[in-house]
Amino acid sequence: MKTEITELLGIEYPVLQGGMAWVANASLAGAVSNAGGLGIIAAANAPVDVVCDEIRKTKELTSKPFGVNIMLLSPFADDIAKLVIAEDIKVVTTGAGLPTKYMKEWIQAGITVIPVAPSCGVARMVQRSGASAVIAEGGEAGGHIGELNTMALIPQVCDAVHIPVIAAGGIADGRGIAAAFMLGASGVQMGTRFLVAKECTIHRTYKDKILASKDIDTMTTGKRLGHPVRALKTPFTRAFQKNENDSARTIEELEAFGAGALRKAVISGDEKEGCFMAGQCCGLVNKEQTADEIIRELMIQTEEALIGGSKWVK
Amino acid sequence: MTFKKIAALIAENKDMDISDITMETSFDDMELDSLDVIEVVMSIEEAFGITMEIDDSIKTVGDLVNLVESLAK
Repeated sequence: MKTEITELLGIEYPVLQGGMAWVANASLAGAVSNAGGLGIIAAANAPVDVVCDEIRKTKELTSKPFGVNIMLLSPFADDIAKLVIAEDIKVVTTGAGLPTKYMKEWIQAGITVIPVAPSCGVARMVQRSGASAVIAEGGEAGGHIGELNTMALIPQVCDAVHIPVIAAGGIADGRGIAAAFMLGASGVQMGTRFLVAKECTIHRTYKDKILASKDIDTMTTGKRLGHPVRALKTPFTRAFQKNENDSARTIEELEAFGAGALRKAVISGDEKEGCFMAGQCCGLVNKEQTADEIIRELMIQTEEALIGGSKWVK
Repeated sequence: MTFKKIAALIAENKDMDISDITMETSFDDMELDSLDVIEVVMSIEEAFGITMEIDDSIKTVGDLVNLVESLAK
């Protein structure tokens, strides 16, 4: 399948794997890239040596392009920004802010920069700074999310910029991909579906929870903190919600309550204190497959949905 | 005058009463989040024909006015 995104990134299928903190490591990214999508390593809050290690492992696993996601609020963001240049990374995606101050150097180094944009204003601003494409992510997504939903956001961002748009948030199968194309996107980024890829090394409990989850099983917490997070409804998220609604709790107390919760979910499968981030499409994710099987299935479904579209046209 | 033009842009873009906007008014005072601020900055860039680099040090209308004036020189 050829789109502007496959051409831009030199990949076979227009599917990016989300740069999920603690989750998106060499094993997953290498498998997705080998399957013809774009695997992405999450730098998250990790120090340079850890990220460098994952990059080098990924290079051993695949000769195909892969990317690094830089979380701009990371205390190590400046160092990771240099690392991607030193390691000759082809694609960088960014989240949690504007990558403006790094753009010039990255572009000079030949890096394709694709920031996540939760609004048209952000999309226009990063386009101006030289972004090659944007990921427009709707609030159906798991993890840290924006206010707009995918259905409303994608066409508006497509109208606001002339660079290619990658749709994210709520997409877990070929129907979602076909719909994203109809909204004007030329690629998709998926997170939740890849959580259960065989090559994804998260704790067994995390995978089982995703496989068992249904449409209404996620919730959003952290709105009061200014950075809402979507995750599975668990004892942790319910307790967080309670604390958040309690005006006696300070912002600092809430931040402390949430600290480290994702790691507890990913590494130890801690059902009490872990935060199992997931998108609203989790109910569509019900079998464990290799990254290759996932992408092949997605592409077959996408083509079926797109070909079937003609039945609506006279 | 830079301030008047910027205040008018904010008032128009964010549906606010222009008389409530002073040099000291902060984005927090106006309940503008980071996405609102980016939209305001983009509209200022277009109106003034400049490009601005914003960071956390820009907190008030006055900060925006000073930045625009320094860039226009």
